[in-house]
Amino acid sequence: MSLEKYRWDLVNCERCSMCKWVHPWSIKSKERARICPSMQKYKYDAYSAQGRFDLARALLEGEVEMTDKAAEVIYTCTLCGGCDVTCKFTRDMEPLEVLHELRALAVAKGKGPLPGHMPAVDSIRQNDNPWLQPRSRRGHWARKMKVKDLTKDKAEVLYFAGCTYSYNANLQEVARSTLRILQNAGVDVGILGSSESCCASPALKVGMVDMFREHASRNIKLFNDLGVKTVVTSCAGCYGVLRSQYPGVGKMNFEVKHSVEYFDQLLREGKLTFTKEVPLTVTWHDPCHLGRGGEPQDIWDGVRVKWGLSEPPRERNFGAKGIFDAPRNVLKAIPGLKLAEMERIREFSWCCGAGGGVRSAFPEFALETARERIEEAESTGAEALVTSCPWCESNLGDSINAIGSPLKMLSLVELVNKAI
Amino acid sequence: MGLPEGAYQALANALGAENICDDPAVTSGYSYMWLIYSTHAQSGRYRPAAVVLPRSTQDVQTIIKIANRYKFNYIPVGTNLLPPTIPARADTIIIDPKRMDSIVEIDTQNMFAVVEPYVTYAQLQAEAMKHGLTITIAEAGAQVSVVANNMFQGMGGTGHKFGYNRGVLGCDWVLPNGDLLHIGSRGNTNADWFWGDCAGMNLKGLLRADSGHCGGMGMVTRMAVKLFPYPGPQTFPVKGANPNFEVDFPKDRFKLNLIKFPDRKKLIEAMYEVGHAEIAAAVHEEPASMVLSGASPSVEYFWQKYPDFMKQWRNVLSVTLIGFSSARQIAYEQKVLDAIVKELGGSFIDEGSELWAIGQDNIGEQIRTGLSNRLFRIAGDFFVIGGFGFDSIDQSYKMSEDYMWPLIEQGQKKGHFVPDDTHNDWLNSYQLGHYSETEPLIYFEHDLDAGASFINSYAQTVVEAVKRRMCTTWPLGPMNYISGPTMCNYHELVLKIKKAVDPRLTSNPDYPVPQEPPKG
Ligand SMILES: Cc1cc2nc3c(=O)[nH]c(=O)nc-3n(C[C@H](O)[C@H](O)[C@H](O)COP(=O)(O)OP(=O)(O)OC[C@H]3O[C@@H](n4cnc5c(N)ncnc54)[C@H](O)[C@@H]3O)c2cc1C
Ligand code: SF4
Ligand code: SF4
Repeated sequence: MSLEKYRWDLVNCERCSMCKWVHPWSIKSKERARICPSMQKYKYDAYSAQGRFDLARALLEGEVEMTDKAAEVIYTCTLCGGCDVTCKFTRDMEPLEVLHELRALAVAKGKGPLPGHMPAVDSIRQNDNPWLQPRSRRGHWARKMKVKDLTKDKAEVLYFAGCTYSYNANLQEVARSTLRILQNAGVDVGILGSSESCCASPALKVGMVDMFREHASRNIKLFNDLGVKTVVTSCAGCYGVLRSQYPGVGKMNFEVKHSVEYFDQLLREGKLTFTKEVPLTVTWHDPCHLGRGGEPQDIWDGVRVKWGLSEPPRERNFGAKGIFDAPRNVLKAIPGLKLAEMERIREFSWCCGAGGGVRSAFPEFALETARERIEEAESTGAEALVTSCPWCESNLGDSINAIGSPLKMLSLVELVNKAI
Repeated sequence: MGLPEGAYQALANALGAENICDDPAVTSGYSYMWLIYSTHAQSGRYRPAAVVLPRSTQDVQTIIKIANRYKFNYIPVGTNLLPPTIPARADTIIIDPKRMDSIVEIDTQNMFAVVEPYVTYAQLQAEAMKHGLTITIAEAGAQVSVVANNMFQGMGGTGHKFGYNRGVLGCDWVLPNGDLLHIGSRGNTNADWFWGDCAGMNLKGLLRADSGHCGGMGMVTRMAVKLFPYPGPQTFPVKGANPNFEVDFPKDRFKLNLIKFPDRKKLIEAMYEVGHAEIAAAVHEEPASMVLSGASPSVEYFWQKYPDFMKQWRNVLSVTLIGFSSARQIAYEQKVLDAIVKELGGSFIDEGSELWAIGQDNIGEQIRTGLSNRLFRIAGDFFVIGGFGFDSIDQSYKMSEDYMWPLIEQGQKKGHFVPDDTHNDWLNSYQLGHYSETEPLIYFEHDLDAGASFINSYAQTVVEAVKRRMCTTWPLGPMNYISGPTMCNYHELVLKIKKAVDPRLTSNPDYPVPQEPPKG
């Protein structure tokens, strides 16, 4: 059982509760002090990293069984990684990895994924996407565009649209705009059209590790065979797994970039320039899998020795080396646009609520979490909330509608388009 | 084993089904305490029978009345850092105050705040700073509950200036029979929260002396705490990114001094002199292990630096000056400190030196604790050797040097405790040096032998402190039977009070003093 690998972490958790909060030095107000959406919603300690550590230890030691309730405790977590950042400030532990292992254990014990997850899981298995859409329609978003088809042509850059931008009619424009911007900047870019397949992040998030690995290794082989130098995606979810999980599956002969990083690079190279004023005050939401989850992980296979030292020494990811500056640089470069920051940003960002299979299995929890973010965004005085992740955009957008917030939900690429 | 029949339903009816849970998947989250685990090697039997989430004082009264009616036990908790929050009996519920998390009021004129039990120090201070106010934060961390900490120790960074747990004012206290008691000015009609005392007998004394009643006498549901002036920025001035944060307080109002003394005796003299001169906000002896762990982003970093750092960082006194009234206050206090340091042969660690870089965040730590839990990074478990004598500075020092360090060395020889030959403690001055506490820190692995070494040493220091007629600290539960007999049998009195207010012994029954002395 691979939870066993984390026994040191589990028995050494000191119950300090750091994992429930933004690091104390970065707390700016009472209302925006929390980091864990699950704890905020369900209140009991069990619904925090600390409580899930206790559950994991109790499961390992046979004190409790993997029951339906245990599965509920395990899955009511957005895998946002907030706890991972704050615990690691203090301790040499891996909360996020433990949370993933708990899901794998739930699957192994027949308690996971939950019924709410199954349509997406089955659809990935059957259609290579979690949206119950046919494979053949995957490339339709780009059918009116002139773009290299990398199943036939060669290019330096693969634009990987991802399932949500490919199929969701409301969001497809993000993929099209991104592609257009790359093309206009002279980037040698192509797409895979209907041959693109799910990154399998949703499978990994619900504990279907084998399924994830199978998809990931297929994708790695495909991208390697294409001979591309760079894979660019606009989806933070795809980006997060490609950047931090794929390296553990196989050797990648390509680099992975999120489109906002690429825009930032093009701006610096002078290949992208903004000429039009966009008179708007906006606030930026750091998607978990682009921000703290966008930091590459050290693939470590070792043991804890005397005094808890890691053997071999482990490089830990603290969540601060994710993609935080690039979107801010792009926004600040737009003439007339004002960026008003929220209190919880960068590695201490508050999750949108959609991740970890929560939106499909616990929609109310997802919306409540989003509501807290909307209120935080409103308090900055911004007119629009901007992000670059389809999950965040949908969930935050739904919450804006549900509470009748005056905020507009925008994708960063829309602003880039307006400014060109 | 669960609750008596009907009890769960009674609680669910009163609180709503979603505010009580007895499922092991949930109660496991309240069952594990590192220290109990490494000293007793088990945890499952400590799982509570249920956890309840009250929303109000009235809910707490109802819970406690139901506990009395059905006869089961309860433990009120804050953030559960302390061992007595883990149940020792099966029919015990946890009263978790997560839904009682309001800052009820910040009275900027009279400089106090009223909080519910799940408000943390960081939250309260963040709001207080907006009004130019602050509060002393426990070294346990700014993420602990203000109420719970004040029900236990309530000591921290700026205690030299602001006092050791002197900040509790009016309180709402639900007694173990479910009655609500108003403490301090809260008890006078229309007098509100502003003062801790009241006319007649002062019941505030029942709340706590050194370390409270560990949940053994009901639950405080609202507490007014004193706030103090704060001349800094409205938000805590932090720079950098995880795991390397730095603080950046305005230099004309906040000044950290790290001073090396030729030996501990001189350091202690300096602590007294600083107190006599009535200068400084925070004054602590800072041991090498603590300072380095605070600056360590990983256990590997710590151990790479430690052997050399331990040689260089000895007998260092950390003195934080705060210009509460003006920049001139800092200038004056610095001059006084310079003279004291010169007279006692100390030398300031240069700003810009490598040692300074490691110790510089101490100023942030004194104002809002954010580094202290990194002590656990060193080896897994951390504690103090115990019985550390809340007494005068030199008595604390004597107890530590004569008695505790030899015990630490024994543990080190056995390979149980992390090597440390500095003989430096976390020795703190409170109330301008009138009162002190010393914590000789030890670090050990999660290992039964090391745990046994720790617990035996701890018990021995309590016994020794008692022999010396020193006030032992943290005499938790059964330890009162060791310290009581030489201190006017206070434990008997405490037990009588406990029985008077909690005749059915439902409130964390073994605290503050168990009914029977420990066996063996
Ligand atoms: C590693 C470590 C370092 C520490 N360092 C310091 C320090 O520097 N300064 C300091 O002051 N303390 C220190 N402490 C002790 C500290 O006081 C408590 O651990 C701290 O208050 C924890 O806060 P909490 O919110 O976790 O309280 P808890 O652990 O939840 O509660 C503390 C005690 O108070 C009782 N209690 C909680 N809430 C209430 C209530 N509303 N009414 C009645 N009783 C209640 C609980 O039953 C428990 O016995 C330290 C403890 C540890 C373990
Ligand atoms: S921050 Fe880490 S060590 Fe502390 S309670 Fe959370 S999981 Fe445990
Ligand atoms: S991943 Fe996010 S939701 Fe899950 S326990 Fe950590 S902070 Fe909470």
